Amino acid sequence: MSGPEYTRVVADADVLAADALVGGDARAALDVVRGHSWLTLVASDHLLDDAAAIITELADESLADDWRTVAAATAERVEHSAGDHPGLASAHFGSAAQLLTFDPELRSARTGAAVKKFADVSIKSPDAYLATFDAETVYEGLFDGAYPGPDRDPRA
Amino acid sequence: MTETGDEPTWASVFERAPDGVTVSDVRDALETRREE
Repeated sequence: MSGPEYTRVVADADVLAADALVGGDARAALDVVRGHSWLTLVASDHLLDDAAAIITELADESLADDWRTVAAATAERVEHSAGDHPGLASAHFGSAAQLLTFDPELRSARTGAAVKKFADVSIKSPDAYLATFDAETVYEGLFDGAYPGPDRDPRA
Repeated sequence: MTETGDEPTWASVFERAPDGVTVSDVRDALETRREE
């Protein structure tokens, strides 16, 4: 398997559902990913199942179904075992260098040290991702030419 | 498919989100689901 790529991002189910239902930092962070064709949102079916269940519980099944349709069309899918943590496993098997979560335990130093043994992933809150991810710097480090700015409608 | 028959978009999903849901609500719902 290739190493983690800085252009590949996983949002745990809490961030995915908050993007749909709350807005705020979750939506702003995922707008960054959706707005750049060279950034890839990665997710497993288990991860999408968790987020859809939250949306069904806090909104309704119709909205969850529509969310699932657009999320499935946006995200590159990866597979992992049912017993795995969907966020961590999606990052590991999807070669993603970034995992966004609101879970403070998942972002703790202890968890980070344990995770580093099998996955080289940076676990951040959406606001930390927004504060630290500079699309221009990353683009110009990876590609030839000047950063063209966002090249996709993040709400399409 | 939306009520108008169009394919859903991110914008159409966000427009239909209920008011008042918080990140804490989302976190609680996820914790409950993953503890089951």
